[in-house]
Amino acid sequence: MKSLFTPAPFAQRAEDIEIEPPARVRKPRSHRARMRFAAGVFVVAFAALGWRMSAIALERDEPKEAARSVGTEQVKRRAPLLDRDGRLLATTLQTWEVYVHPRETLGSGGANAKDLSALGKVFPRLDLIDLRRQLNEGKRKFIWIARKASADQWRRARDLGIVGIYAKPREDRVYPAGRIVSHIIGGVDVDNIGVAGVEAGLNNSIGGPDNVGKPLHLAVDLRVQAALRRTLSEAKSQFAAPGALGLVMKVRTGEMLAMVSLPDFDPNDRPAAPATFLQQARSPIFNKVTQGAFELGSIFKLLTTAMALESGAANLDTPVNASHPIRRGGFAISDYRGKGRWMSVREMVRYSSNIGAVRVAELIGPERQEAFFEKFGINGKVPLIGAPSGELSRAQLPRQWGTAESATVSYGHGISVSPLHLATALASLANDGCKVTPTLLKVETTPTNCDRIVSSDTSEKIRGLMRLVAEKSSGRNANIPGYEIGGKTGTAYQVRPTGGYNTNKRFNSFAALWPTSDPQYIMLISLDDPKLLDGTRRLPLAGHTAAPTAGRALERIAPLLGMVPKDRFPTVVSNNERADEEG
Amino acid sequence: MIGSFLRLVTVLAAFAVVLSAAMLYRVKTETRELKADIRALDREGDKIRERIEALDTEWAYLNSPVYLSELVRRHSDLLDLVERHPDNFARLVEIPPRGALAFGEPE
Repeated sequence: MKSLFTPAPFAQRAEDIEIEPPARVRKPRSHRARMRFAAGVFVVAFAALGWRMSAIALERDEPKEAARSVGTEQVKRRAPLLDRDGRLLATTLQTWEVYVHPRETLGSGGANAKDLSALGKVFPRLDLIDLRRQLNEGKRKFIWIARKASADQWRRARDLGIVGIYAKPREDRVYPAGRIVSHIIGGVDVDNIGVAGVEAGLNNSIGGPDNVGKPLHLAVDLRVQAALRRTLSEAKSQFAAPGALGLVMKVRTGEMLAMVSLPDFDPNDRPAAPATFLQQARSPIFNKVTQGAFELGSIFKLLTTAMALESGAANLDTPVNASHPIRRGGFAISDYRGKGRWMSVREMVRYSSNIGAVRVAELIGPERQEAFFEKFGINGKVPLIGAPSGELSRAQLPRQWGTAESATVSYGHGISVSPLHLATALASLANDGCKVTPTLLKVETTPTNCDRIVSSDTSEKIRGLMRLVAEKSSGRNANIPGYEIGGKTGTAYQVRPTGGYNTNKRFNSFAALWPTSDPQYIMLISLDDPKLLDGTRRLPLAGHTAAPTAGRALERIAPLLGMVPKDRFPTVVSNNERADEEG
Repeated sequence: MIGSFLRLVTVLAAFAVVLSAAMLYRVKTETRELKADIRALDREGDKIRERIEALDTEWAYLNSPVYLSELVRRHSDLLDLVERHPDNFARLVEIPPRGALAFGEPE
């Protein structure tokens, strides 16, 4: 067996044997090339198709283009503003600026009288004589036809076929209610950015991309606003007053149902800001309610009384000596038609005794008085939600709160505050003693928490005093039966710009609260330098000017708010009853 | 055997790719057409929305207290409207039947 694996000695070694490889059967060269080419084409085609399919499958629907077409539209549009019942106060419309190139018009033979007449029908305010003159002169490169034309007007103008008429689109803020809500709304500049009022205070919300198309509900009630403005406008004429202001606030929520400052302006054509400070105060764009600072007079006696009651320094029956004029810090303090006797704190408010108020303030003391003013929010700026902070005036308090300052402040002199300051403090007093924050925005739910500044008992007593004044004293002219009106008058001499008081000029105010048993609304009305032109020699005090104005406003506003007079229905006699009476 | 099977698979795959590509192309074309339709509708919607806004504004102007009070003043002889007053509230039973005041008592 072993010999089988031993190479034979005579045999040729295997490595020496040359084996001829079998002849390869080659396929034709052209066939292989075709196969490779076809395979390559398939690979490329599959790769291209696969790439394209995955590209199409993974591609989103032109996201950049979609964002651009919607986004720019959204950024431009400001949110519409509505009143508390959904009435439109401000909106943004696309308008057209229509203009004409005189040279093109002349080059085509000029505009004939028929064309211009047709153009005048489209744009009724167009001065056709002036336009024709300018067109024929051909000196100017272009002439404005209308700065705010509607799409329909532009279409009609274009269809006239006059050569050289063009238009470019623009977005305009439009205020359909016009000057009625001027100071609440404020206005925008040429770039549609808010410059005053809610437009400025809520500029980021109104113009922000998150609020596109979402209308913003304001606290204002357009009907109440219009009624207050009309009443103030009539009073301004009746008493020859250069200015007037008024506000209506919901006591529980601080919502400003109305805020009027006269003179006012049309926000569709907002006047330019005045150059100097003195001009500013007389400008129609100056909002006296929030920007003004006035000595508001005897209405402050309500605050003085609240301080005394709250601190325990006095109660309503505490006697104070108002029998003769007094001097404090070099100032003589007297009463107008004073009683010349001792009186209770209640009587001090009823008869509006300056001397009595000083006596009460002396019971409180300057330190506590100052602290109370801070509690009432009469120290810096009172916040008004929705209004720009720069539009709110600071209370101008005495530099040193000494005995003399404390005395004058007790009856509303020597301290200048905005009407908003005073109305807010009174609203807090009336709101069961819970602090009220005024707002220009609609409040959906009445707050349940209470940031207490005075006790419920003090609040009730102050309301009772206001009712007493309206029923039996200087507020009688505002006492509309059936509404439980409470009020307080305030007559103050105006401060001269050079210092001291101008005893010929007064600033008359009336604060009204109704109904006093369950306070719902507070109203403050002020007339700047009113005069009595009825031929009598009466002094133009608040009881004769601001109080009747408040009464007229109340007669208009309370029914609009759906308030039915208590126990006072008209005697509408039915036909049967009439027949019985006659029979 | 295997070679012919692979060939069949290749042919089927190629056919599937061509078919799906054709379908994809069709879907894509339809999508493009629909997008164009949507854009046209959007433009039309924008125009209608602008028209509605303009009409809303005009309506608000026509209902503004200033405009209405001017209308009432101008046509006071015809309309004979008065402001709402606290005296206008009445109990339902106190309101005379419809027409009674207008025509008076029958004689």
